[in-house]
Amino acid sequence: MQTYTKVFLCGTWGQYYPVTFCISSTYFRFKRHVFSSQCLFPSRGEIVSSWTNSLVVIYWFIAPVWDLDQIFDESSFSLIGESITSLIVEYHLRTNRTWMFCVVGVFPWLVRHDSLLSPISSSKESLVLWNKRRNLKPPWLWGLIWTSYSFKNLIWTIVSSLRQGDWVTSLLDNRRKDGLVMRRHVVEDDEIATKHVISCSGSVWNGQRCNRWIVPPDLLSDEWCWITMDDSQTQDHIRPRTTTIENVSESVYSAIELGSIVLLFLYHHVQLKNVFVVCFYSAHLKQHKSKLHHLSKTSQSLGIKTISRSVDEFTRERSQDLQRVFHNFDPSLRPMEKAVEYQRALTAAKLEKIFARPFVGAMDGHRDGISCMAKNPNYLKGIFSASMDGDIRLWDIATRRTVCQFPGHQGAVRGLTVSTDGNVLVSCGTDCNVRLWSVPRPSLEDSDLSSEKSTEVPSAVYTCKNALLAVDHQFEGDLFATAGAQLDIWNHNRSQPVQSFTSGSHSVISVRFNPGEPDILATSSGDNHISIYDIRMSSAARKILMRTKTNSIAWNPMEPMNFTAANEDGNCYSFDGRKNEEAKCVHKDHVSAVMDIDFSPTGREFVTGSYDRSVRIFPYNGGHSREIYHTKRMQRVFCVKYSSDATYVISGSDDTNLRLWKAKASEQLGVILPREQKKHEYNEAVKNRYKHLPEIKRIVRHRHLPKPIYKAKAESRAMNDAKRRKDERRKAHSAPGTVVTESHRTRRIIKEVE
Amino acid sequence: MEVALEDNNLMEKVLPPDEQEIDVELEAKEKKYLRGEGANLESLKDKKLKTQLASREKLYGKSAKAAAKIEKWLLPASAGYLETEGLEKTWRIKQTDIAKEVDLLSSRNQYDIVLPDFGPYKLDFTASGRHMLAGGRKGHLALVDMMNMNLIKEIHVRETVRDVAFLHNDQFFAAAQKKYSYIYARDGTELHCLKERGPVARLRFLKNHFLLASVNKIGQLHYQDVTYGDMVASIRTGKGRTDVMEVNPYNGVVALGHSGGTVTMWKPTSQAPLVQMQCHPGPVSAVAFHPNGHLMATSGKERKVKIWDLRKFEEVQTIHGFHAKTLSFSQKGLLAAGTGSFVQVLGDSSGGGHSRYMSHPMVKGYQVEKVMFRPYEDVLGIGHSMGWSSVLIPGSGEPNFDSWVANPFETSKQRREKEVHLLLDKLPPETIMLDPSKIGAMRPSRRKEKPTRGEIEAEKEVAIEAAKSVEMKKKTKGRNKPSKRTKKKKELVENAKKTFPELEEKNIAGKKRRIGEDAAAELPTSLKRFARKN
Repeated sequence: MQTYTKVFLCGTWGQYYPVTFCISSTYFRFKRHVFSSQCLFPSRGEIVSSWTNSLVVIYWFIAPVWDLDQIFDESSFSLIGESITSLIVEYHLRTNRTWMFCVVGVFPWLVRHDSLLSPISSSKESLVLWNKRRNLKPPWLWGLIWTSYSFKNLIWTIVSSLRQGDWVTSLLDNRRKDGLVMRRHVVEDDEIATKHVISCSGSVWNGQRCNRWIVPPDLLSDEWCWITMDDSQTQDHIRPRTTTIENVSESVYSAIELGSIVLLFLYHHVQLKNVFVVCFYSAHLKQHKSKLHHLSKTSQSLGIKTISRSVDEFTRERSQDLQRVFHNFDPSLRPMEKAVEYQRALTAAKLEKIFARPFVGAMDGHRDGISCMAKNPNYLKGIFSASMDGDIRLWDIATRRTVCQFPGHQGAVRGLTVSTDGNVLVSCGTDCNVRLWSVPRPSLEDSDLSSEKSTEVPSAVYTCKNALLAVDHQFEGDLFATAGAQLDIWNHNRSQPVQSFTSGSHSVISVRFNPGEPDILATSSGDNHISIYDIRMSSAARKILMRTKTNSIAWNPMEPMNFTAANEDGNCYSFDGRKNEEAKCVHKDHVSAVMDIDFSPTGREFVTGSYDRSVRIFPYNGGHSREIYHTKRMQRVFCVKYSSDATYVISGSDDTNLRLWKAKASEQLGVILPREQKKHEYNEAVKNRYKHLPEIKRIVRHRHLPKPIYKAKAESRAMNDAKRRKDERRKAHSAPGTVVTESHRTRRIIKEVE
Repeated sequence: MEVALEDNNLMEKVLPPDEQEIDVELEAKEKKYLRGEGANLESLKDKKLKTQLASREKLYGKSAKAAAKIEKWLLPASAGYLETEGLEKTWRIKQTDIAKEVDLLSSRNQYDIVLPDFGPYKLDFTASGRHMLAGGRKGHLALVDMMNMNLIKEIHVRETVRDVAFLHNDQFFAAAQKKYSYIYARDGTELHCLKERGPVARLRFLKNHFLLASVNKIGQLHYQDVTYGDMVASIRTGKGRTDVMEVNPYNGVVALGHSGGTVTMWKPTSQAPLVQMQCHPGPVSAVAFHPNGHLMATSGKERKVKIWDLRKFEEVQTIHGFHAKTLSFSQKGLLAAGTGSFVQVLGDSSGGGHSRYMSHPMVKGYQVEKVMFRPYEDVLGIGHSMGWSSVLIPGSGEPNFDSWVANPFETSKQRREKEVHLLLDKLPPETIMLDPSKIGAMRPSRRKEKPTRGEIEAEKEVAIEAAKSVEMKKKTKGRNKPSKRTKKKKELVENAKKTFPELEEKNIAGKKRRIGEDAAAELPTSLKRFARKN
């Protein structure tokens, strides 16, 4: 939220130091010519803010430098500038804009008599403040100002606490060697009042905006003065309600005793209007001390305030500015807000359907069905794919072209994986070979790469006895595992497997290393087993026997103890690796065998490709898919991958094409403006809020299914229902306890072998 | 320095009383933004849902807190007020006194426009209060920009104008004229002639629904969708002609005041009234709704103004002594009433009901036709027989507008954008209901928790026992006979039994089905021969 406040504080100090501060939310600057001519050196700018209900306290500290040759430092400009911005920020966050309290302290005396002297150190509190000037928490109690400065042997500290009733200001100084002296003075609230001396706005000051304060140049030559100004947003009428001057605090006098000048800017809210009070105390104020006490207060009888908005306050100044926006979150201003919100949710749900265009494009080039794919963990745009005719290609996803072609294998390539550093591609196939390829480095000029299809030669070829069905590379290591008749662990540099695991007569179908523990891998085999191996041991650590074969396994990258198995029966089973007797979740929706599975890098979703010619996206803990992707031309899906930035899904199917899908069907791609982003978030939130209501639920859930899948689903539903009915009846008609219904999570698991 | 540090720490421990006050104040404000109590999560069994809802409740709490803080610290303006000292009373303060005290910009809002030829005038403001529409009875329509007092368009339709209403923004307005009502554009072009409704007495526009509601001379209520021109509903009220009609801004329900003293409330989706209240013994002369929708003010011709609580449909307050031809609530809840040439403003400052706040006597002979508070300003517009006037009522308007809700400083680009958003958020007429917070909520299960048979029987037993144990009064001689006493006691017991009719009926029904011959006995004689004999 932006409030556009302009505070112009212009102080002219004798003949010598015209200081101009411009504090504005839109721009801030010190008037350069003033500075360059007078060479003021603003050594410290402190912003001390208080969270009392009435005040923000700004402590502004400037020490002038008398050296005329010194060129003004740019960094101190920026320093000041930054502090001013932070002032504005705090000002916005914490206070009603009509409250402000500002202390400006100038110490010419020290400079004049002790030669050039800026504050050597300020106390820790203010330092902390300075460092944490953007930190929103004030490091002190609300309503307390704590500032201190030391000049050589002098520590000058003001402790002011502002409360409703009193204003306690204490001054500590160690001028005398006997230690700190604290003076405390309590001032009643109404004592800190105002005196309307000169109205510096509107009518008096030649039609300037009233929120611009100009201190007349003769003010300080008069040695002391009080000014009140009005911020009631009207140019013409300034009627301060009270007119009083009392002694503000003893600290000021103490400061005077030191020979300093303190400028106090008080923004005080009196009953009628907001009055800006500028108090000037000069060094020669001593003799006028008594004068300060003499001024008494007067008040007017009628208290009236009406809403009055000047157009200037609520509209932009220049056409380049942004339009001013004001907020009031009062529910009574928005009748029927719930109905409106529901309507928005409905619209959002419909819009989501309208914009659901998940298919980005197809990548064709292979001459046979795609058998496997591999992501390059080091390069977002690259993806490797291999086909049944032994061809291996590297694709550029952005241009959807083949970047590089590898001559590949004699028969079908069955496994493809890339090392974690993205340098080595490992492929294996039915020709009993493991081939290692060095991955071409992506150059900066992508167009070059995509135009010339470079072909590579394998950096190593290792042969083994049996056909290989899968390969996977270790995370953060140089081992990889191949699956075939047995499970072999290989090193990049050795032509023989480092280690081999055999189990039974059936071949191992898939293998996947754990992303968290580099030595752990999960395999599935033709005898319906899912096994978890630790390669430091000689045999499988754990085995699960299921009723049907598992085609592929994926570990959850965010919760690496959990994995999900894509099963031949059309379901996916999520397991906790530590607790295998039952699945954590059964993901049902495919009507045919699930061929491949890959987790999103976020770990919240995974994508599956199935023999039923569809790709589905499941939530990691949800029983049903959130999305189904299909096209008329897409055949059996053999491999799927989630892109490493979780925005795309790539599927490879029997029809020799790779297909690129958006992970969120209706997501807007490309650069999204912040306002668009906000709108998307809002739509998402309202949809989520009303998602359980039937109208919205229906729209959000509805997906068009291809006829074969639709029919197969209906059929399987009928079968399942019949089975369930039968089971129920059987249970009802047998002795209690004899028929036990098995839960879905354990039904397809036969046993767990340790 | 260490001394000082310690001092600092010490001060941190003490919570200033000032701060405690702020906390209390913020809490009170938070309540408004929480919009009611949170869900009761204790009874939930689903743990997952429970945590989800709990986190959501937490979010609501946080946002309410943030909103309360924003209200406390960041709102640019504070509400107007009128304070008096000592014996001075607020209602004695005249507009001339106010004029002296307020700034120039505000004092510009005090004026009388004297147009003696075409009055009395009806007024309407746009939602932002920027534009005003004045419709003189004798056919004068004027569209005024209130910001710079600019007359945008003035047309003369040369026939009776009974009412005027802005549509969703200042670009369109509707006027109920002698025979038909018409929709005009800002530049005075006639866009539509709405013939279906007949001679309309009152026009109101429902902003969220884009419905133009009207009641015609024969007491028919029409709702027309102004976006595509369809007549959404046409309802015969069956209560005769009326020209008292107001929309409850809280839920979009239309209230009609009738000559029989009833106030009926309507929605477009039902032909029967939602509510029918007997508010006054005589004709109802004016109705007004508080912007929060919980209060309704009605005025009867029997010189009473009543304030009703619409949550309980109960009378809250009766103000005797005058009848109002027109009533209007301000955004801050002040109630203006116009009678004859006198305008009175009632305020609820102490919370103990509306009492006199300000009054404004017009020039003698002026007949006040319509009073209406200007939104987001401390201004009351008065339409009367000699033109229209505007007076300052400090503290009546909401000081802080929201640019996205109603922006008095709207640019044309913002207006266009807003129009699109309004249309996107247009509500279907079904959303008009007495309690709009029900939208999006779950319907409670229809099935009531029925007490079991045993429970009912036990209850019955208790009731009978209680009836039996009642001590009979001793009556005078002749009335204290034992027979009469037993009879009386029996009656009491019977009455106690009667309070459980379900049980009895069920028993009878069960018996009937079993026996079957009693059914024949209950048949009309002509059908008795068909009864089964056994």
